[in-house]
Amino acid sequence: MARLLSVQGLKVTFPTAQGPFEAVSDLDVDLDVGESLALMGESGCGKSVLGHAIMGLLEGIADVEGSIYFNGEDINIMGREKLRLLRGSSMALVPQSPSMAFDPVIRIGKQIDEMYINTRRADRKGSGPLSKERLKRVGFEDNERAYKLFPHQMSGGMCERALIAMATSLSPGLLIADEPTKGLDTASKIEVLKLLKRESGNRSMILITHDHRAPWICDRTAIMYAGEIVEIGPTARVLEGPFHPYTQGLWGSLPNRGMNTIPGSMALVRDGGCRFRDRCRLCSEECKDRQILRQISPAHFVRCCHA
Amino acid sequence: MTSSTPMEMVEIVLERARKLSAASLWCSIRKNPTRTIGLTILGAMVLLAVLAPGIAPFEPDEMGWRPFLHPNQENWLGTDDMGKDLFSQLVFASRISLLVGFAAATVSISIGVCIGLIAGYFRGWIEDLLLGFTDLFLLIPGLPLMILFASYLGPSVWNVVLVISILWWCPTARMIHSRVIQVREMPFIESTRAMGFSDRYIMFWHVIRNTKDIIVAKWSLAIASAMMAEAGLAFLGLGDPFQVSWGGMISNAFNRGGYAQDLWWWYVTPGAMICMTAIAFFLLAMKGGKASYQMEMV
Repeated sequence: MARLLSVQGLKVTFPTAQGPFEAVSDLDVDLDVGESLALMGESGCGKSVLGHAIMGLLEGIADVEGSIYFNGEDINIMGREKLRLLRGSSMALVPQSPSMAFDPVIRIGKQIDEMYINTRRADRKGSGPLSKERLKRVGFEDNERAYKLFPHQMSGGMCERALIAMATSLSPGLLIADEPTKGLDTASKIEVLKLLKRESGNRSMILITHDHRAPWICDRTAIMYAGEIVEIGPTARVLEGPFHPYTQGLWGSLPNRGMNTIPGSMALVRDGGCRFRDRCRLCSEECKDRQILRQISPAHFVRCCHA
Repeated sequence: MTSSTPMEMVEIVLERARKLSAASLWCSIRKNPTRTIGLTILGAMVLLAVLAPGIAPFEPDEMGWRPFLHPNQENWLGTDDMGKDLFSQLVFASRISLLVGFAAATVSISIGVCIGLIAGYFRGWIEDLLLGFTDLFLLIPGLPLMILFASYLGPSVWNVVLVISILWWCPTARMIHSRVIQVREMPFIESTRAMGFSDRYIMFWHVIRNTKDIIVAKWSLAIASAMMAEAGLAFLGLGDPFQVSWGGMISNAFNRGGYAQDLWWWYVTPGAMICMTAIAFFLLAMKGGKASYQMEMV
């Protein structure tokens, strides 16, 4: 399959009062056309930063090194205007906190209209029916009413669906969904996941999530820890037969698996060795050496010398 | 509907429309009386200005009466030192005062909004530069400079507008700037950027819409202040002597014997008009402030 996205040696550094902080380091990940990837890991491990870096939204906020090839072009050295035209139409982000991702003083429908008008795919008159069609597609039975609602008149689940409608309105090739099920009840969560699965049918998707069930709608799953991918492979393998001690620890902390949480908290020391070692039950001398992603079965890679 | 002639149907529709508009009007008056009062006064003032030739019994510079007449049946507010009808002057002066108010407020608010918006949205050196520039203007004592400008540029209505708008954009710029840095950090701005919208579009569509309440409130207050500043300049004799405004009338009363002869109707009436118009704008701005407060509670 054709390669859509190829991230090579990505390093994102934020300037902080305590000196530069490396949020993502030496990250490599590929995504084929039509493929979907779930990104998991605890808060602060760099999942959202990766998503924002791919969208080219970190300019002026963080220092981004490495290459991000999207359809063969490195967006890290692309001109601002070219990158802007890529956003929305070729790749789209469904941001966190859906109720705050809409302009509070403009009706939902009008905001979706703007996507078409801004890219000149429709004029003011023609955009209305297109937006209503999108709203219907994401499950608003009464799309005429939904079109006229203000963001504060919608529930979290409705906002999320409207946001997905907006992000996919221009049929982008890549959809990055940043924690789309955050704060939703179970039924709404399933609704949103079903919708995302349907929307990712003919496009690539990166699903950033904390929900251990969400990766099942994706082909592959990557686990991130302290700015690195520690395990990546087909979803079923990563979820059911994880090799990395951190992934095992994550699944072991689920309520139905004994709630054995991982001791300690995420290391801020980045000395070149395994970043998980001071929380790891398998820690040994070898862990102080640099760890690379090792292939342990077809398409399944783990960054651990004990795997 | 049973068989009814077209005329009857028109009657019914008209009747319904009448009832509806009366009911909804009453409802909106009850809902916010301050706005209604403000709008009524303002509407009356604008009508007065627009229909001045119809309302005023004479031309404002028509002479032909004895000077210093007391109010009588023909000259409702008496006459001035040159035998001109004061009531007609009062009516026609509304045009100049309102024009200066609207024009100066609109220009100064536009400058202030643009500078505040750009400084707040882009941050960095642009912000430092624009805010430094604003601070510089804020430090200049306004009234002396206004007098200096006005006397240098010569007496004309448009010079008064120019002087007021050049000097009055700074507080607006400051206020808009602080609101914009608040708005630009809201998550929806980032999501709009992620959807591929340009900075210019985000600034002038989303950010402006979210600062609208402040802009409207500031604008209506600026009109009132600009009218009073115009009155001040006119009182100091820096207005256009051929186009009398309310402030100009007070100035004339002061300089041409109105005070000396205790003809209070000469200077109290234009003063009252200025006050009433200012109050109307303050009432409207109060409404805007309240709406903004409620929005923040949501």
